[in-house]
Amino acid sequence: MIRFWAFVFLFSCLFKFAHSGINEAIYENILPGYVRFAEETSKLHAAARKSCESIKVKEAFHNSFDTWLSIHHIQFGPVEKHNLLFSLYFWPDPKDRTQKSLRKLSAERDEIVNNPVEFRSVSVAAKGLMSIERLLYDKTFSPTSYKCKLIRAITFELQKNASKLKLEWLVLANNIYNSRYEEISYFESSEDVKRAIFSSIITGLEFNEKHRLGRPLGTFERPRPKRAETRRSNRSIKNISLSLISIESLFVSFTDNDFSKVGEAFKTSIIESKALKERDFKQLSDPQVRFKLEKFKGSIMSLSDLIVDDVGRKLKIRTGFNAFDGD
Amino acid sequence: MRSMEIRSATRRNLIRNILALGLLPMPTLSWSDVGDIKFVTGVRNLNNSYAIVGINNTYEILFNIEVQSRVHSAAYHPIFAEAVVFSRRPGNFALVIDCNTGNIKKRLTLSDNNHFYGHGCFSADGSFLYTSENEISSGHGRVGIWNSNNNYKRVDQYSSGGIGPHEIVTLNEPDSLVIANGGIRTHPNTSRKKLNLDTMSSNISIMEKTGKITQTFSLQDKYRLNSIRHLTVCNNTVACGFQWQGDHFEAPPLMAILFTKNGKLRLINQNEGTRRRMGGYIGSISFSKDGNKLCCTSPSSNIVSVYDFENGGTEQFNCLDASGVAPFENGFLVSSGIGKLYSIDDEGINLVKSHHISFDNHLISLV
Repeated sequence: MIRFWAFVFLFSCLFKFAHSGINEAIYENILPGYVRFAEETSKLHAAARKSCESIKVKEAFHNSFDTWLSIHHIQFGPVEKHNLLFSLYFWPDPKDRTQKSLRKLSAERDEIVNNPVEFRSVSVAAKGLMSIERLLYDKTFSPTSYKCKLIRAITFELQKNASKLKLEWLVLANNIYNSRYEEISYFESSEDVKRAIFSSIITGLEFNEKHRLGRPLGTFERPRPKRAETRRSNRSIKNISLSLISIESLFVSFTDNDFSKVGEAFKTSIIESKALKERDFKQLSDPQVRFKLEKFKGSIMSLSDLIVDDVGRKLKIRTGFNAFDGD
Repeated sequence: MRSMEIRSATRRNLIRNILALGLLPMPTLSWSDVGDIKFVTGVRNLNNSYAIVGINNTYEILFNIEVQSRVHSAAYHPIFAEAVVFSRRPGNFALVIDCNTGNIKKRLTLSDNNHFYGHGCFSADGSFLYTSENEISSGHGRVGIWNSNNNYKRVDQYSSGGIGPHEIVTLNEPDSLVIANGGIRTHPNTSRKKLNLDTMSSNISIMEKTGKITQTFSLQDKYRLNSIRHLTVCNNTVACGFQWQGDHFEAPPLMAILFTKNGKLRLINQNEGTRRRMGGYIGSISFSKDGNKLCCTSPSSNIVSVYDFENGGTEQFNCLDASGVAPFENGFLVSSGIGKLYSIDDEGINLVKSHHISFDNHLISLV
């Protein structure tokens, strides 16, 4: 591991970008995130191979999910190039395709779980972290040898993909905009890279606001607590908190913390997230709980708007001309 | 699609005949007489002004005409080198552009009770321009008819066969219009707010030049929230692109082929991952010149999807704020909201040019 970081450090020194923010975001934030995700998913697979019903698998799942939250919002680069996002993480899932796909495999005792190459063709809904959560925490999936094989097939592919992303980020980090990176990312200039990082911050915040919070909140008349992400493993609120902390960290690396108003708004949101309880989503009919969560949702929305207005304008980053208001 | 040579020859003969009859004022040049303009599109300039630009085959911008507000799409005259650019809904102007000089030849406006929906098309002989419109008081869709041989005088308007008509294309056999009625009611007083999602019903209407609607195609009830918005035509076959108004994580198929002869609208099925990447939204759609491929852009999820009719597969490319798409050489040219132009062919996607502007929703290939 020491050798690895020495390698990263050497690379970063040799190929310093002239544009502040990009290098810092990649080497302080994005790359370490992918490295940790590869490590934790590798441990998860190792634990599943030993005993797929042990508490250690659940612990490894939580560690993997924690690290996933530090990179989920980074949706450019290798994850985009190889279209791996959904096979790592299939959520939101309003039609519960994960349940249907896992049930189908289990009911048929599909032998595809024994062949990693063929397993690649399985629907993305039956893969990745959300499928592992379902198999580990949904009691309707009773312990069977088939379930064990299925968990191992999923964790194997997950750790393989995580490792692939880590290795490609190591190459990409030093070639991010002076080449076409195998004709996929089209980062022609530092402006393009800045735009991608900036978009990651905005879309990450929006994902927390609209999906992690907005989906379970539903409407006042009809709250939808069962739509909360990873509710079975009891970590829905924790996910939002960890995600905000990671996005703040990326923001600080990227902007050198030059924006005091945004810094304050991040702090407020993170403090609010830490004050929430996991059981809050189950008590949405309580007006006080609902008010607290709605207020928190509003804070994230304001934070996102502030970044678009304040930072976007100052850094002259323009995004989403058609995406924000298409026709 | 029939070869360009045949089309040009027909066009030349048509011009000769029309000129022989003394029906036309002379100054308007035909496409073969003008420079190398190949595309027209709306843009937002770096200073935030909105404009219309012409692009040549080396992707340079030939003219940049500032306009008062954002435009959406354009239609090109089949014979003469002019294009009509339509304001974005709820817009109230359309501009006839001389594609030789880049000058505005004529400004089309509507009565206070109508607004444009951003699209239009010419009749096959170029005599009439058809525009998709909203009749504000009733909320009914309208097709406006303008006589291009008479300085684009407003002639009439017909019912579009639904609410919220968006893209309109011309079909040669039978000589008719295909109208995508998106089904969503809006009112200028509430800007672009969708007023009827609870009851929305989208359809494709086939209209004779007399205004008579001869066929209507709708989606199954479970796909009611799929707003049929964009159309492309090749070899008299029409393909359409949808915008899903429900949860985009549960969007159904977003593309379909229309078979007018046997009265069927056939959805193009794609696997879960491919469909999910499209984010429930198609912004523009185009056939390739040979009609073997269909390309659509999904700006909200930064994806361009190319469906291959020969093998039924879909290839997807990442493209930030992908917007317009037009047939180009053996594939497509795609424009983006961050000022980039990409060519797509059998080898994949290639960045061909970057401009310091934002390309708007549609890229119109001329001739």
